[in-house]
Amino acid sequence: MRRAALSAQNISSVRSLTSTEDVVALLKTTAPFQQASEDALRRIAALARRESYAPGDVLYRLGDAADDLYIMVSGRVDHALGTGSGARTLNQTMKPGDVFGWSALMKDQYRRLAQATCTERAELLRIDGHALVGLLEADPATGGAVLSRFSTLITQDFTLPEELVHVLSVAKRVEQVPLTRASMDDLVLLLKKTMPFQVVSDEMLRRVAKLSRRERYHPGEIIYRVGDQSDDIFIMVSGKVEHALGLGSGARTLNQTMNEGDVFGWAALLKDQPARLASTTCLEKAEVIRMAGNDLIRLFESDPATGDVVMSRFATMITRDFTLPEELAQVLKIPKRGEEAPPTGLGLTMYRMALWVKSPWPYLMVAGFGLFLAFWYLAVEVWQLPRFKEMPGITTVVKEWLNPDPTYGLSVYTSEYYQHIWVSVRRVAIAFLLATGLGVPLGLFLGWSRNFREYVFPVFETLRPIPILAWVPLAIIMFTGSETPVIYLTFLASFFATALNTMLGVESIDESYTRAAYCLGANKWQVFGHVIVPGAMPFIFTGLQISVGVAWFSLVAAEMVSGQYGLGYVINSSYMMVRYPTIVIGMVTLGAVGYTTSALVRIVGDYMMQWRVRELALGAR
Amino acid sequence: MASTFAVETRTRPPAAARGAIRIEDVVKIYDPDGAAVMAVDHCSLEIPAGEICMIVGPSGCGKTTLLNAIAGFHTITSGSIHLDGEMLCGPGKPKADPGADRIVVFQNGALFPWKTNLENVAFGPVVQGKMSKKEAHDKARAMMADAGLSGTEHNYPGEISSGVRRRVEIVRALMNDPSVLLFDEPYRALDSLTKSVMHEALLEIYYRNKVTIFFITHDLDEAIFLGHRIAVMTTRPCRPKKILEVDIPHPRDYSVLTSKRFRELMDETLGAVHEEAIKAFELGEKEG
Amino acid sequence: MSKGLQKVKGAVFGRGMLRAIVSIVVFLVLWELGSRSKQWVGFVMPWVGQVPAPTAVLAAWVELVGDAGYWQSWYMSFFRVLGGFLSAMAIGIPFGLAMAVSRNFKGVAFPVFEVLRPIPPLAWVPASIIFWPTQELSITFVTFLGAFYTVVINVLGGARSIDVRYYQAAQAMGASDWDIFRRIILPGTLPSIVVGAAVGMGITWEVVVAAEMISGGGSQSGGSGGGGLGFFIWNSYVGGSYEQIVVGMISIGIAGYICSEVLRKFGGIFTPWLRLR
Ligand SMILES: Nc1ncnc2c1ncn2[C@@H]1O[C@H](COP(=O)(O)OP(=O)(O)O)[C@@H](O)[C@H]1O
Ligand SMILES: [Mg+2]
Repeated sequence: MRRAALSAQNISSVRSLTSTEDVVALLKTTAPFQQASEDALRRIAALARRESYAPGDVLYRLGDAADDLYIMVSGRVDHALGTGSGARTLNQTMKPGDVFGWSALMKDQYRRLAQATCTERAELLRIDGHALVGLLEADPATGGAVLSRFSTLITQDFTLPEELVHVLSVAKRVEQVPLTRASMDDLVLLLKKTMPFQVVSDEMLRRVAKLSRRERYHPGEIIYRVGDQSDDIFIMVSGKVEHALGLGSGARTLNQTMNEGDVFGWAALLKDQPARLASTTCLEKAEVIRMAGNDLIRLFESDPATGDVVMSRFATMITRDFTLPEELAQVLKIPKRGEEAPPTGLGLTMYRMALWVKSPWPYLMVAGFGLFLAFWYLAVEVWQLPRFKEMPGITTVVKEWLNPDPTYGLSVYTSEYYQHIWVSVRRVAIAFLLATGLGVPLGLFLGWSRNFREYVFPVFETLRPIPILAWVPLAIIMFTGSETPVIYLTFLASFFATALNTMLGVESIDESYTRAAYCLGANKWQVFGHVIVPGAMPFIFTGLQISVGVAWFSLVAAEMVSGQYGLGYVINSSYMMVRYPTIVIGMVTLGAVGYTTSALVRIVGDYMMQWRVRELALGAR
Repeated sequence: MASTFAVETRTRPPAAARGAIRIEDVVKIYDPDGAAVMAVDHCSLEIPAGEICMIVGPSGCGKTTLLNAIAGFHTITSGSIHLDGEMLCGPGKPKADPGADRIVVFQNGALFPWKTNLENVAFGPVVQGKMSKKEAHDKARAMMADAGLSGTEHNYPGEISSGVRRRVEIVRALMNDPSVLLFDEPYRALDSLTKSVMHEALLEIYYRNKVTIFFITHDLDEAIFLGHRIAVMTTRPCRPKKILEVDIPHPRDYSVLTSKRFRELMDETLGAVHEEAIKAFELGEKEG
Repeated sequence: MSKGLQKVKGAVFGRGMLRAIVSIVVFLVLWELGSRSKQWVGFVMPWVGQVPAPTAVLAAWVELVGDAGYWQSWYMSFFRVLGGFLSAMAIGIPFGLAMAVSRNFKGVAFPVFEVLRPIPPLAWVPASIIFWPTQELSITFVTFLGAFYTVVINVLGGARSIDVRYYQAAQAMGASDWDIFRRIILPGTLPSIVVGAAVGMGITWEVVVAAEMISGGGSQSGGSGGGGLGFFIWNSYVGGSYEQIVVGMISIGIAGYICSEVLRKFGGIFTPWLRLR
């Protein structure tokens, strides 16, 4: 309340002795109070004090406490807004009838945004902001109208949406309309007419209708404001509502009029959007349906098939109105069948499991496997179809596999089984690590240095079209023993895949990243470490995935041709010795082990590239 | 907030201590496979320290080429470029050394997606060895807070909106206390509403830091709203065709867009640009 | 005209080409030195010392050019690659498209597909020999498997990458399901089918060579013909003519390269809209 700039002798502040009628008449000429009733104005007038100022007096300064609202009676006051305030015009001269100092009415705005200086001897009405807001809250009909006129006034002067967020809210008393059975049916009919619910079954609509409340609003009443909590979504039944989006919201059109069947307030369905992006004001006596966003989402979650459709229609609706993709990235609180969002906690996993079990996919999957296995069983063991009867049957294979005393010497109970697995895994691991250790640096340099690439890459490209397996005999000649040739072949396949993908990865890096790094003062090696290596990482890991795959691919071939141990050897030797069920055991084991190793590579990749995982999670919505 | 600005009302830029660029007779000929493409032809342009100079010209005319020459991303064929009297490139030194005194803000943004916003902003001082990692992070945090970017420090650039990304990128540049900021159509991919917010934010930063700004655009509203001067370039080879003074006083805000003077300047610029745009279109230029 | 000529000149005598020639020549010389190290220096280089020298390989090749058996091997391998590749395309594309179109079909078939996929194709060789009546068919089957997985995965990926707006646009213009399939899904997946075909072709060659080696050439006669290039290599190894091994390797390299190039040309014809402007 204390203003340092005002020394006591400069103010001649007198409690107004003139009649209340004069003040009421004056208020009537101002924009915000024009349409308020006599009665209300009288009460407002009772709050007003009259003050006069001499030229040069400063009423308030930027950053002072904002307590009071001013209305000009006579004279002139210069009003200068700060540059940071987002105002359209910085300097204005206030004339009789003008209102200023409305910071006093703003929520969370305790400081002045401008400086007001008297330039001609001025007389003013001064009203305590708190008291005024209290008064308006007590009479929502007048209050809503006055405050919305204030908002308009402020919007005219300001460009920044943040300012609007703060405009004061008056508690509103809303008229509830009870729902009867007949109106339930109406409701379903009405929902059917709205864009998001058009395609939903009547059954589901009835459940949606159960969540609804019906409310009536009067002209001038504000349903919600920018920044309010966004809990409910609204559907228009009758009347007109004006919907004004905040500037920062990225909307195509800021102002829209909502008519029957229109849906608004969908911020309630947005993930991470706890606040309203728009303000809505009733224009003509309106009836709306209102339901809690969270209830609706819970309903959708219980029936993902419908939920997905409705949500995607919501998304389309929102896209029509918005230009910013970021808004959309946040649409849909419903998790898309467990694909998105990093797994946080057991609860989420359980929840997803529950969702998955409710969807048709597990049953289809079971059906798929059932068909496959049944065909195998029937074709080989029951019908004994011509070619199939030579093949090992499923029961034979399973019995052999789980037999503590296997007929052909290999089952989960024999140590040899694990020895074969171990030998193959060891070979792949050595070859893979060697290929990564040599291939990644080679690829990085191939991509990074043009000179290096021009000298080395041609040889690389000449050797690459030769299938790895064509190297088998040469490998046997070149390396002594039986272990080295197998590892060499496995390595070779991985090496080409890794080096090539790493090189492509470096080439894929946008030149502006390296340029930006040089700009910011990095030297050549810092660019290499901070830009080239992490930038190529996604490609490197794609390469490593391929690399594991081809490692197993060539390992099997190499082991089949030469080798004393390993899963490829098991498969080939079982064929030679007519131990057919063991062939299948070898194949299935190979598939399982191969899958596990490539899953490991993927997990390591995700761990090392958090940035990418998060980016993709957002991109996939 | 607003009180941090002294209200200066002037059409000419304030005299800053550093950041004067002198481009003299610069020629750049690209020579892929012997087919010579002349991108910049005897271009001369002087930009006083602290000025916002907007470069406008048709696509493919050679604007980026000129910017790259200043930034030191490639060589020039002849001519010279000086920064505060010191030769960046010229006879005997065809390519400028890229450095933290001239920082580029790229068309599609170049925040490193694999670093968090904070690490991105702290990148310059850390690689230059001017600050320890901790000092750099502290300063970065403070600068981000100043620019209203608190809360995004530990996000990766891929997680924030494109408008916010541009702001982080500008903060990353300012961390190095550059004398010149080089913008290559930084707001092209943004929608017009976001753009308008970005413009005001940029001006706010400019009023606080007074760096020289070399800003390529082909959005004429943007050019007039931001610039002290606008250099309209010819179709390839690139050379200033016309230089317009924007005599609308700074600090500016959005009311400028609807002023009469703005319209007049728009007419004038449009006239100069349109002619070149037609030429470029007929040549079938693609984006460089 | 003159500009085009200049371009050709640039490509042939450009820095990149010169360096490529230098690099390959250096590679050959080092190889020669390494192979002949025993003769010349009296010291056997590890690894390379065992490999026949390029000049010896060339000499062996010149001899083989007149040999009908060698060309017969080319023919056999080509024949098998083509068989496996075409059947993989013929079965893989409809299978992939069916999964792309019907969510239910995908729900049934895809998990089984994914479980079988990690089993390397070559692990199927014995099972395939048992199942199919002729060795020719069993080699073709394994070859088919190699390309099949890649083709299907690419078709699925391609269908998934189609922009939803295309569907929406088509629906808005009143397209039927069949129209959408024919005019959007099919052309939309074509580019990735082409990519899948190229990758599949590479795998096909890998598999053919290996299958020929493992199954002993596919024809009972053995001999120098009939078995395909993979068997040609294996046979040369068994027969101890190491130069011929390298000739065989290079031949397969060339054959594979020709196939990929032809495929790329074909791909370009099918997807004209991807041509660079
Ligand atoms: N590295 C390059 N090699 C050959 N020509 C180039 C190269 N970079 C740009 N050009 C050509 O130079 C001209 C100017 O390009 P640029 O400076 O990118 O134009 P813009 O004004 O759109 O930024 C264009 O015709 C472009 O094709
Ligand atoms: Mg450009």
